[in-house]
Amino acid sequence: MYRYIGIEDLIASALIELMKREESNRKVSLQTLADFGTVIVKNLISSGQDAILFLTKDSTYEFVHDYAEFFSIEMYAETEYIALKEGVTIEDLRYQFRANFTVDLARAILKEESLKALKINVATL
Amino acid sequence: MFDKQFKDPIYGYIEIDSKLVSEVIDTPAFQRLKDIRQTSYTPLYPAAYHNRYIHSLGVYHLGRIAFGAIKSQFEDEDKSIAINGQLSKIQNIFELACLLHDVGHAPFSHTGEAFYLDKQETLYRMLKECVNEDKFTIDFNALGAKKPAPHECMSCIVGIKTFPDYFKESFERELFARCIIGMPIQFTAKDPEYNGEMNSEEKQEVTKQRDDNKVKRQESELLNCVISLLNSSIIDVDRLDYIIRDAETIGFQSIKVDYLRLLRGLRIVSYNGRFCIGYHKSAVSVIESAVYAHDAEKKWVQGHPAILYEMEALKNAMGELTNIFSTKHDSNPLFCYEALTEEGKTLSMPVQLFADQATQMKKEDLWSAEALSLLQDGKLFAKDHQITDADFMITRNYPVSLLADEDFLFLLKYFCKEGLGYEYFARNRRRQAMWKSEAEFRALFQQRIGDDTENIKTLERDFEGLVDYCQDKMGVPIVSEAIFDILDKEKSDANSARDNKEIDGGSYDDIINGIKSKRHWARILCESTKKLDIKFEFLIIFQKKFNSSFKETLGDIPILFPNIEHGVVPLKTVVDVLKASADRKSNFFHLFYTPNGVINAEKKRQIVNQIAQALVAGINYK
Repeated sequence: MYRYIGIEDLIASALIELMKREESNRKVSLQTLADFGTVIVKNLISSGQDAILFLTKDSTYEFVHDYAEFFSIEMYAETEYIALKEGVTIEDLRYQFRANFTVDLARAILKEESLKALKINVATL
Repeated sequence: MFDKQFKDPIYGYIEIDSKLVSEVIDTPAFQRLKDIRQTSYTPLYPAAYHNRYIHSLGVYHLGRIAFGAIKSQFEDEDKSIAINGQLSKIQNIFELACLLHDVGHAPFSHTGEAFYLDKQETLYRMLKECVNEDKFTIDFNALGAKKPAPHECMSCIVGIKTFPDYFKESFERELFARCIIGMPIQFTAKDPEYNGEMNSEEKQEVTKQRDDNKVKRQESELLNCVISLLNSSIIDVDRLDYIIRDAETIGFQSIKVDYLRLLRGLRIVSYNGRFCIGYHKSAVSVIESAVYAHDAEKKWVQGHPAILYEMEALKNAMGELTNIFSTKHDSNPLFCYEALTEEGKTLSMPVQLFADQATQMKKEDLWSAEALSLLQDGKLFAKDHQITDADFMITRNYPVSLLADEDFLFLLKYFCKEGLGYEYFARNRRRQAMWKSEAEFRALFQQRIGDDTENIKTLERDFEGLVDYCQDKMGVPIVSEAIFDILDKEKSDANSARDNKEIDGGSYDDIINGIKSKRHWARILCESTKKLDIKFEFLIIFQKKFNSSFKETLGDIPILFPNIEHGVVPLKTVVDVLKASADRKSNFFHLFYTPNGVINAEKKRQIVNQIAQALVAGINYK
């Protein structure tokens, strides 16, 4: 039984982890998000789950469009980022996107290598 | 060479070079598409049996018209240098990409395509190996969270591997693949700068490099124009064909799209300092029609619960079959490149001999001879250990090639008789939809709690979490008695993860709140079923409220007004009706219940209203 890890599983957790450390860190590049997803899937697989990363152009853009009150796509130095809209807080993200948060996913997200993929300096944690 | 003609109900005669017909269209790889249904609309529109074969011919036809509309512009002085005499090669590859853009589609089209992905990302690796071009690999790796759809990757692989004579140069493979997956060329080279200390020779070298860069940049931009004709966020020829064909074939009453006027309005325009695809002003009215037709199909056809249910059933069977045939060495046995080829592959599964059959054979003293023969053929083994008297296993082989809808249905009929997947056939086993449209959902809840209030958003959010959770943990989006044990285990796992400091306090709280919420709604559904004498077994399909994203992407298309100085402006500044709503409305879900036997209309009304009442009470209680 496969578990598909998509944009909806990644974006809120990525931003929560970034903002927990630095409030002003309110955006994540699409490349970083994919790297984060790859590591999370690897972690889930190593804990015995059949996980597959599903991050397509359509699913990413549709998700941002559907949750336009939370996110927008922005370009910085020719790189695309998903940015959190002004006024949206960590609590808002937790409330809206963690209704399906599970122990195995939390473990996979909070592992050192996942945080490294988000470019969080784990040495200072 | 003489063109062959195909009679198409939409465009009349489609003419195709007879060499292309014999070398590509008449091959088994392409003919397979006759047995890949274009849509999953048959539960609602029984005539929706058109297939990827006729759609591919249609896209080829539209692609030729589209390319014809911009072809003469490549001969302009400012573009011909960049194209450097390669126009006819570019046109041939583009047209071939149009024809083969769906040649890798899985059974039941989009319903099956996610199964192409595996843990090892084999699909992406195969694609990069097939194209075998550094620049392609660099751009592909940089896509990040914008990977192409799995069927697009597979179409490139099947196309390149099946028709190698068309792809002798790496340029041809790369352009073909970029057209199909819609991946533009990223031109990243920076212009070198002059500095005051340079001598004239050095300055000349800088000038030459800057000129070379300009030509290469323009070449990339022009090729990107071609790529975007087949796959982009604008109205590409793939999308245009299915918008027109789906409506015409199934009988859905929609607006007519004047495709000739639209495609003849295509232009390469210089906009924001680069070449890109735009439209002549004469096409604006047709763009509006295309948006309307696209959105109507998405909202009223694709979002219908009968269609969503069928897709869920098929996906379930696909997952089940993958599990049945997967082995330690082949985790993705069915939805893979080899199964699509003419050579095909063999699916294997160990099967236990019937105990009574084995006993009978022993009794008649036949067993040893039979066992010996199986052993000699290497077909007698135990699943995980040495053979004992208790288990006699043989391998059953099922050859599969040119995998298409009928192959999948054969396996479904044979191996998935009990589960949700079999409801593809056994419609009489299906659960009943509580409401049949977004409008009915709104009508039911609006009078009780209002629309787009925090209350309805809570319901929507919690049910989305519940559906995803059931899918993750049980493999089906069905809420039943089993969920309570799973939630208990989740809670105990959360406690131990917190105690072992594997998760932080915030994550723990989120998990516990999620468990409480899921238990709350499961209990409400469970108690309602007792009062109503229906089974505690609800299938839930979550659905986003329709909010056109197509309008948003189209807003940036440049429109050319030839009589106006600097007359290239984005569509959104001249057409109001295309403005998309930025605010998200509350979403909704379809709830399917399982009646105990046949129920009458009065009982049905009672079930719908009492469940709705219980859900509303559940929000207030929460």
